[in-house]
Amino acid sequence: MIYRLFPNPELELATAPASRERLVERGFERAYENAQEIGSDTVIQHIQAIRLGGRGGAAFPTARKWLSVKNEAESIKYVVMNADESEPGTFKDRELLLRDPLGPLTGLLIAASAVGAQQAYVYVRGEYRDVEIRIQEAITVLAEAGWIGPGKVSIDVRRGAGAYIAGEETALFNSIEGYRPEPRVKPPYPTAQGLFHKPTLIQNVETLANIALLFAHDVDWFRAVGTDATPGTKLVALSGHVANPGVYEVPFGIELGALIGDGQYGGGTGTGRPLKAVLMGGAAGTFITPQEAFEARLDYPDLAKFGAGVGSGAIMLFDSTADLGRILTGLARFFADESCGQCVPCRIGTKRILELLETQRLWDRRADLKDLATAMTDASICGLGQTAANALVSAMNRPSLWNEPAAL
Amino acid sequence: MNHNSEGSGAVTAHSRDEEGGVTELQAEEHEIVVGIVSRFPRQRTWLLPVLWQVVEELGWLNPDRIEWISEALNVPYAEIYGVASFYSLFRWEPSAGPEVHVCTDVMCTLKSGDSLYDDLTRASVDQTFTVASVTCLGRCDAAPACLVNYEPVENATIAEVLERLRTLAVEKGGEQS
Amino acid sequence: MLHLTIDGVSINVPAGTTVLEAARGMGEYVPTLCWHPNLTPANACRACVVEIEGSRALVSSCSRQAEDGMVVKTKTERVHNARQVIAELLTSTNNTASAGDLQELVSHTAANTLRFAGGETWEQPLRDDNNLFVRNYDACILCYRCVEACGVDVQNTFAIAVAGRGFDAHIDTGFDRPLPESDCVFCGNCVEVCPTGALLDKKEYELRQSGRWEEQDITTTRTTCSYCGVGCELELHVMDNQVVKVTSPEDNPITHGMLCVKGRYGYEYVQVHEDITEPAP
Repeated sequence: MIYRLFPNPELELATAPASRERLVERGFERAYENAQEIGSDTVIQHIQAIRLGGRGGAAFPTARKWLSVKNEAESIKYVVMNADESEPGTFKDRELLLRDPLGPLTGLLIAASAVGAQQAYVYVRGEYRDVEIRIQEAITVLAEAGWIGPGKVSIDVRRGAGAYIAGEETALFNSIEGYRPEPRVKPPYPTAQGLFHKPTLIQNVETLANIALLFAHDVDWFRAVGTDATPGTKLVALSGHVANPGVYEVPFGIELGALIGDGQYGGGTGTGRPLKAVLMGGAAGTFITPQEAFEARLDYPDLAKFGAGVGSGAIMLFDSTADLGRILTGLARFFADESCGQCVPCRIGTKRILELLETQRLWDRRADLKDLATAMTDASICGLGQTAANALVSAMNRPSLWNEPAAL
Repeated sequence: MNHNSEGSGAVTAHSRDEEGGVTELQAEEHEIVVGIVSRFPRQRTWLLPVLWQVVEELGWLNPDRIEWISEALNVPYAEIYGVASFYSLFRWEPSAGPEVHVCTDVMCTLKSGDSLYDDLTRASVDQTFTVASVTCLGRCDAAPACLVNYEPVENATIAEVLERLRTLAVEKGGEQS
Repeated sequence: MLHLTIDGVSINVPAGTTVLEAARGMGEYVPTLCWHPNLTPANACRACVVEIEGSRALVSSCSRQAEDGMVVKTKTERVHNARQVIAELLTSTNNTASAGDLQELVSHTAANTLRFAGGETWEQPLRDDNNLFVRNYDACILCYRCVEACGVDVQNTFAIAVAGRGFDAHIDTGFDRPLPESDCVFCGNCVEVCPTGALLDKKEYELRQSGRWEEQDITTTRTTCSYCGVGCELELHVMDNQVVKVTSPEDNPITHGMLCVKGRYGYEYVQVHEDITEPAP
C-alpha cells in the first residue's frame, strides 16, 4: 500500500480530515508557503518536471494549462476545482474530498496564486452533500489559517443539481454563470475565455491534490514512484463484481492483474465465478477481456496497446453471470439521459443507440451502428457525444466477450 | 411525444383563487421567494443557488415561483425554466413527503438497484414519500445507492431506506411541535 | 491576409473570416442548417463540419476562424459520413416536409432517410394559440435560431428558451404556456429565421393547409414601412392581389431581415375594401 494522495492510516485516525492538525501534518502548510516563495515560474517548472497530466480523464499536460492562464494579460482570472464527478464506476474524487479535503484545496490556492486569480470556485455535484459539507469545513480551516479572506483569494462553493454534462469544463462555466450547462465550442479554450469569459484554470480534484503533494515535498520525491512516462500515483475506483470495491491509491505502472486480484486491492470477483470483462476508464471507456487485463499495466502508453486508457481511474469488473447486452444498454441509457441535447449527433445518436440495444438489433445493424458511432465521435461538440459509443464499439470488437450463450 | 415529459408541466400547482386574484398562500410564498433572492447579489450567476434554496424551503418549483424569481433576480422566465428543467434533482410537483432518488444505473443495477427502485415504488403508495430513479450517484462501491432527502444511503436496503424516512418524519414532527 | 489551404487549393482571406466563408468563397459545398448570416453561430447542427489538420474531431466551420497555415478538407469520407448520418438522424426524428435546407442535405449526401427511422420521433400537436403564427414543433431541429432572434441577437425579449435536455430538449416559453401569456411581443423574427417551417405565419399556414399557397403566383414588392420613422424596408408578398406575408430583405443594412409586430403583421388595413365614409367615433 502506498499513501500519498490519501493520508496514512495513523494520521487518518489521529486527525480530522478538515483540521489545522491535518493541514500541518500533511505538509500542506509547507506546500502553500513553498509555492509562494519560489514564485509562479518555478512552480510551473516543477509541475512540468513531474509531467503531471489532468487526472479527470483527459490527461492534458497540467503545466501547459497553467502557463497559458498565467500568460494571459487579463486582470481578472479564475481558478476552478471540478468536483462534479461521476459517471458509472467513477467515485474517486468523492473519496479523496471526504478523506483529505485540504490537499485539493491547497492545490487550488497554489493554482490561484500561480496564475494570478483572485477568485476560486469549487463546483461539486448536487448528489454529494456529504462531500460539500466536508469542503465547507475545510474552507473554514483555511480561513482560520489566514489563506483566504478579505484581500486574499476567496473560494466559492457551487452545487450542481443533477447533470453529468455539467462536469464538462465549459458546461460547468455555463452552470456557474446561471445558464444551461451546455458545452461551448472550443476554441476559445478556457485558458483564454473560460468562466465569465475570462482566462480560467480548471482542474480536477485529484490533479490539485497532486499539486499540494508536489510542493509539500519536491520533484524527486514525487518522481520516486510511478513510471517514467507518468510519475506518481493514481486513484482507481473498483466496482462491480469485485470482492473489495472502493478507491485505491496505486503507483502508475502497477499490473492490472494485481489490482484486480490482489487481496489488498480488488481481491478478485468475490463471487466465486470467473471474470468475464473489465470496463477501463469509465462509462465512456474501453471493454477489455480478462486476458488483456492480466497483460496490461496501469499507464497510458501501456493501456493504449489495448485501445484503452486510464480515464478517470474507473475499473469496472463483470463476472461470468454479467449480461453484456444489458450492461451496454445501461451505459447507452446513461448517455441518452445525460446528453445535453445541443448537437444533433449526440442528441439523436445516443437515443438511437439506446433503441437499437433495447430492441436487441445490435448485430444485424452493425454497419449502421459503426457509421453512427463514427459520426458521433467525429462531429459531436464535446467529449460526451464523442465518446458515448466507445464502450459499445470496444465490446463489439472483442468477440470473446460474447461467447456466453446468454449474450445477445 | 409530450415535450414536457420531464415532469415539469406542473401547471396544476398554479393556485390562483377563483377570480384569478392572489391567494393568501401565494402572498406568503411570494414573500419567501423574494426573501430568498434578496439574500443573493442580483446577478444571474446566483440563479442556481437561488433555485436550490427555493426547492429546499418550499419543496418544489412551479410557475408562480419561477415568475417571482424572474422578477426579483431579473432573469427571463423562459430562461429560468430552461435552466431549471435541465437538472434532474429539482422537484416540480407538490408531494407529501421527502423524495428518494434511487440509482438505477449500470453498477447499481448489477447489485439489484432496479429491484430496490421497484420495491420502494410499491412502498410509496401510502404517499408519505416519492420515488424517482436517477443516473449514477457516484457510489458504485456501495451499490445499490440512493438519496433520501438528498442525503446518501449506501448499500441501501428497503428496510434501511424506510428507517431513514421514519427518522426524518420524527425529526420533522419534532421541529413542528 | 491569412494564407490557408482548402481541399488542396491555396487561398488568402482577411483575418476574421470563418472557415465556412472561406470554403464557400471558393465555391465548395458546405451545408448548414443552424447557421444564419445575421445570428451568432449555434454550432448545433454540425452539418458544416470539416476536417482540419491537427484536430482530432471534425470542426464546425461556421464558428471557426480561419488561421494562417490551416489545412482544411471539406470532402473526406469522415466529413461525408458525419453529414450523411446527421441528415439521417434528423429525418428519423422530425417532419421535414417544409425543411428545404435539410432536404438539400439529404439529397447531397444521398442519405437513407429510413436508416435510423422507427424509433421515437418529435411528433406532437400543432401549437396554434394566437392569430399571427403557429408553432409546429415536430419540424423543429433545435437550431437555436428562434431563441437567438428572440434574445440578444435581435429582439432582447427572451420569451423562449431551450428547456429539458437530451432527446427531450425543446423550445419552450416556460411550462409551455401559450404565447399570448408569455413575454412574446409577436415581432415574428423567430418565424423569419426558422429554417424548417416549424414556425409559420398563420396566414401562410392556413393557405398551405387549404392548398391555396402557390409559390409561383406570389410576387414581391419592395416598399418602406409607414408605421414609424425608422423606415424599415419591407417586401410585400402578394398573391391574388392580396398581401399574404411581409418580410424584410436579409441583407438590408438597417433591418437585417428583422421587423417589429407592426411592420410584419400589421398589413391587413391595406386590403380592407370598405370605404371609410366618416371619422371613427
